[in-house]
Amino acid sequence: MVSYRNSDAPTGLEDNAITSGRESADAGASLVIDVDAHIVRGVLFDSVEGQSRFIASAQVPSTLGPPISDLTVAVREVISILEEQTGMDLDAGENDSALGPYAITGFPIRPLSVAIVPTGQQALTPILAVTGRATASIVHILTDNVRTEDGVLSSTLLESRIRGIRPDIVVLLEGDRAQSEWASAVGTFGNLMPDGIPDQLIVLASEEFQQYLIQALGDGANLTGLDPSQYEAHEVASALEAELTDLYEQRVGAEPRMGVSRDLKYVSRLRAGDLATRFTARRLERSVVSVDVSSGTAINWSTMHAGGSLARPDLDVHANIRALFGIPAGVLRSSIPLDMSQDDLGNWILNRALRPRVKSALRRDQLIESGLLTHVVSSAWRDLEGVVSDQIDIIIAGEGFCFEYDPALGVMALINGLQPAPLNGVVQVLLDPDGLLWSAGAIGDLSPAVAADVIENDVLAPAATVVVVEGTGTEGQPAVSGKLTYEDGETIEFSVNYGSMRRLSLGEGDQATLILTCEPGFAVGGSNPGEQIQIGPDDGLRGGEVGVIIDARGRPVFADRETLAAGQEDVRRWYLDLGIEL
Amino acid sequence: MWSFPTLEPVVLTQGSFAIERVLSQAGEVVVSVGASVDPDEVIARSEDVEQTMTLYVASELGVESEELSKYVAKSIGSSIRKGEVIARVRRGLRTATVKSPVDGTLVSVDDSSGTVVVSSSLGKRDLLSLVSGEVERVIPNMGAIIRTSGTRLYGIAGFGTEAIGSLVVGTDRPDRELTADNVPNDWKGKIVLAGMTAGVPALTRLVEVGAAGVILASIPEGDLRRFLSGGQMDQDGFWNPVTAAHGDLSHPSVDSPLVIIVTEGFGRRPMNDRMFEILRGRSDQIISVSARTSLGNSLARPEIYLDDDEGTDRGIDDRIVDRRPLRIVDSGAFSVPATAAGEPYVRPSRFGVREVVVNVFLESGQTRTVPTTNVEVIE
Repeated sequence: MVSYRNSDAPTGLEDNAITSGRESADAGASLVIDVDAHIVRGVLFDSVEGQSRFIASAQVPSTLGPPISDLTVAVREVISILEEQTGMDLDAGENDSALGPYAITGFPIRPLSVAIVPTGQQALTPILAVTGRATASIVHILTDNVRTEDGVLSSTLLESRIRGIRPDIVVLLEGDRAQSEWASAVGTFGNLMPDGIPDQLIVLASEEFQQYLIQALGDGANLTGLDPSQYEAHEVASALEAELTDLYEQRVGAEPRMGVSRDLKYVSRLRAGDLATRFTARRLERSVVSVDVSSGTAINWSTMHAGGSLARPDLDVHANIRALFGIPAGVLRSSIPLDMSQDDLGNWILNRALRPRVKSALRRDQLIESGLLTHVVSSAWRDLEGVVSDQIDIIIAGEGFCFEYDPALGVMALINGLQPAPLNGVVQVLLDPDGLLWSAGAIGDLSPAVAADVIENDVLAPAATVVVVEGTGTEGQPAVSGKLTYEDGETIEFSVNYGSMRRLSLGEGDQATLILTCEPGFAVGGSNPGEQIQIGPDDGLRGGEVGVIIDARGRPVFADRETLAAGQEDVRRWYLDLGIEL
Repeated sequence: MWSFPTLEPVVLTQGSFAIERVLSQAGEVVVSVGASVDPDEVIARSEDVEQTMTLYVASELGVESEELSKYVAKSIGSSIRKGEVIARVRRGLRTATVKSPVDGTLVSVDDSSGTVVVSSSLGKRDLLSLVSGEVERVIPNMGAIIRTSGTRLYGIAGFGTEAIGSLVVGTDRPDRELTADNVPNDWKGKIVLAGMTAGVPALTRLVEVGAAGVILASIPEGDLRRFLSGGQMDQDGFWNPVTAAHGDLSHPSVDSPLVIIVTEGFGRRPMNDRMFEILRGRSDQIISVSARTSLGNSLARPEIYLDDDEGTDRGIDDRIVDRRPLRIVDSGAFSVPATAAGEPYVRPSRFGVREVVVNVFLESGQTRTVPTTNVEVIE
């Protein structure tokens, strides 16, 4: 499967990290412009005492879409703010030796829309869906939703669906019903193509079916195809990924200079996230997940030897918030730590959709957004099922998880969405409000040493350390007891019941040692019942703005509750456990 | 820095502005540059366009192509409604059917290919000017840009199409709800100012008496969904159609029996005082409303046009300056009246991210600092 990358391949950042300093210091100031339909951010790196460091960032609402529909407006504004902050001329010519490489990342044009249409069962379907989602594409799989109750492909449903989606690309797959359905499917596209839908048709079928299609649609159609029986599944997936990536990059390349006179190298957000996440995983020998929710959602996962990436441009808490209506209303409501009716939550979602640039400034809105982000993360994470593992040691999340009211809101959304179950029981959660991880990844394509320095020096400061207590029991049953000892000898003793959480204060840069004893039926990182476990800085226990969280809810977190009210009560209690005022 | 999605204030009084009026499909433009037009004057019309659609009925029914004729339920040349059965086959205790996706006519049945062809008409459409003014530019085959003098109010969400009618005031305050009991029989063709909101019974009553449109501050999404879909569609189906990516706010198949203009948002919030005051002052005057709403890349918001004899050609901007009236539009507490206390400035957030904010005076006399993304300039 193509998105399941072999991470043994070097990221290019490692060797340079070892010799960081000289090389990166010579590079000059590097600028990354991170753009999408929600925000435009500029991140500036420069040499400080021989190492590349984060200098400044600025962000403004995006002007990619209407009413302005001109990205250069926001890009110029961001550069202007950065120039004001730093006193530098960031739009000087290519010959200015004070300036290093510039990169652009994110989604600078709208994502591709891809529809996958299998004629019957076809094992490639889920593989191609994952492949498509590893590119800047919205992927629609047209299976049951274009079939009659008898399971027969309906040309009218297919045509109606395709006209609604208006995909850039359709992937038509030969499945086990191709003999009876191929003519319907081809005929439907014959109806659609005079209207310019889709731009391109990719046919994955045997020669016989390809020939039928060519004869039916004629030479005018933009067709490409291959016979999947002649290739391994991963080769077919690779070909599709290359096709989609090339098409998107061609379209980005056709855009003007984005308001900057210097050359901007485009690095996709998924590639930037992949490079930086992989580098972090290899450097720390940990399993790392990075999550960014802005205009759409992007997730990268990497261990020492494997990784996966996913983009969901159609899912976020801004312009694409209505995708959350696809989640059953009871499930959606049960993650909100407030008493909201289905209609109230629907109103909230629609008001955000009408005014997608609005920020959650009120405490209540931040609580709601935190609950909704849980589902954004879990929906995207589920799309990577089979590729990723819940053994996550480090979570790095972008600005969308940085809540002004309490950073624990973002941490809660991430833990509930990803439900990490790390091997050693400890997860570090890092909040990255400036999007440094992705910017470092983007610049890493041009100047690996800069990226390595920045990730090591500026990104890897956790907001929270979460200790995951696994096991099951009855609600309220003691799960774990312990003692947190600070550097100055002060201690906090505590016990946490099953189904609960506890937040312990440990500030950024502070060190402490945690001693835990699990009750029978519970364990931290595979510990034995009654065994005393010690977790210190070397085991990943680090301070941060949120501190240390003992999560004794077991896994999965959202176990089936008898009633919606019971589920909501659990969620409210968890927020209160973390000291978040509701 | 802008606030309202359209980059302009919500209210423009006695101004001069241009509106673009275009057909949804190519047709004939019947006005020329410089012509004076009235709101109810046709400026363009699209002809009846026939469209054919080939349906692969045999494969859908699971029958041999050459046997298709046996299963077709309508005769060639007969008219057929959207959703009506074209062909059916009995399979044991069950019947498999193929339904027409459109209103149209059954044109042919082809036993060699197993297909049925249905033709449908896109219908004639007359495009009205909606405003009094002068044609500034003709858009060939599509419509025109009309310059007008008057008052324009933006809504935030609309349902239905367009309407021209006499304005009646249904509630005496912007925080009152229009009830069914308040709707008299003689509101046929009227556009009703409904204040804060109107429930399903009141909306149903408005349809019964033949009202052309209703302007309200807010409406709970559940009420609106139940009114427009008869309770048949859930939130996902209604608000998140596959066409959402192309800007549709609700499912494109949902027709509203009257034009509904929502000025503030979803839920229950009073109408902005200034907007209510302007509208109430136009009671019994003819006004025009366009409900067209599109999110994302094809941005459009509903508009209300009130004719004025004179308008000044002053620039329109939504800059936030000291003392300018605003509304705060937090997602959970939208449409809170406020006044700018100075100009926007940049400050670092708790996380050090620099964001543009503005201090505002609330009606309670308190002050609040708000991201500029969360305020809209009223006038």
